[in-house]
Amino acid sequence: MKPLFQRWACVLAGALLAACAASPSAKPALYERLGGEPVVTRVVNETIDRAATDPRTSRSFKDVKLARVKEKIVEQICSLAGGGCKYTGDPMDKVHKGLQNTEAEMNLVVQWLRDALDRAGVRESEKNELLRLLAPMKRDIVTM
Amino acid sequence: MNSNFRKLRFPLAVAGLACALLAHSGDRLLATGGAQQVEGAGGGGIVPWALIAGYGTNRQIGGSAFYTHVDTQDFKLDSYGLAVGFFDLLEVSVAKQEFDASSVVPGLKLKMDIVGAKLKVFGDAVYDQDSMLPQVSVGVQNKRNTNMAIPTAVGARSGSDTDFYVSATKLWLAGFMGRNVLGNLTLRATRANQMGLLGFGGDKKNSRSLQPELALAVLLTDNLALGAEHRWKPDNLGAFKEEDFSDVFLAWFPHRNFAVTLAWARLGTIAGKPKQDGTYLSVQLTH
Repeated sequence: MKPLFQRWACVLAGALLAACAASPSAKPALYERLGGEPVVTRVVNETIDRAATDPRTSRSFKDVKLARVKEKIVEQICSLAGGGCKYTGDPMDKVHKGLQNTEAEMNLVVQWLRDALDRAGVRESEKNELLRLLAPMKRDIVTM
Repeated sequence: MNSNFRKLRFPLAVAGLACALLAHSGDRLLATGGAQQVEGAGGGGIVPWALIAGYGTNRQIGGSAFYTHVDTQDFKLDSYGLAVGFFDLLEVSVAKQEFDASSVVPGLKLKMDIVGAKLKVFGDAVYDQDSMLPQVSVGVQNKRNTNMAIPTAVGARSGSDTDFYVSATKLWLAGFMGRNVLGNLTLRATRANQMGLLGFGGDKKNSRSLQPELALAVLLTDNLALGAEHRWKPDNLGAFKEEDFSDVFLAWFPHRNFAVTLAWARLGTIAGKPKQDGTYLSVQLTH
């Protein structure tokens, strides 16, 4: 029992060291590593187009100016991911107020976002970093 | 409880859960229901996690079915069962274990039925990325050997008992070199000998003790997890020394509804046979 636990501890310590050694001091901002505005715009367009047309999620996008939604999402990602933008849209809870979005709808859109990021050639690590930034928004988006 | 009902309650529970499953399909994210551990609870291979089995959201019913085969030098264990997750809040599971101990007594097969329940208490392991708080669940596993005589013969005090546990699970997105990392800590109050296959309690200790169980996994991609688990266990029987379980696993979700877990398990001394190492293969349908 002891040796095994020690082995675990060693593996963990080694992994942490490797993680520290691997992170260079001047890493470009996430927005840049995602591919900047061209890639983010493409990913957001694909995701929102899918969400606005799929019968499982389209109800939340009725009577909505899709071009503006896409633009504001790109702006918000740029702001969150260190791209130097300022988000000028409404707060997320206000935007989604009254839509009664469900967890199922949210998860579907997240899956489409992941698919779009994969298709755009965004690497696993940048994809996960972006999702980490966006995930807490679930509290403002899902109200049902 | 009359004996007819006792005999029927397991198949009845299985049928009931199967019906509940057909009612709706879940929409949680890929792999977020985990696998089903060897006692039937949603989790890894040997450790229950705080995640609720299946893909059901807070408004859906989901679930999963599994079959697991473990093969060591001297033993074979088959385990299969069903878990249903109600509203990403309550998980109910049934599982059957068949332990082939022919190497100890020719032809000896130990069988055990396990009925489990798990209740999510708080937290969202996946979405609460701005918080250190894990998802926490509490659970029970009621275990009943179909032949009570064998556990008693090896010195166990009883052939059936209930384990209680609390699990904390957290997913760190981009947690390690950009990969998503899942961590789990479970504390189990148990007096089970070899999960209960050798009964409960013994001459060395007859009361429950608190045993930690750990799991750590890295998602190499969205559908491939590499991980390890370690499960501390009591050592209640004077005649049969018992050691911890551990495993290293690779879980692959080639399709949303289908997963395969392959593991290398180190199960220590079992029923007097030392150093039981072996392969662990589990297939799972998730809904």
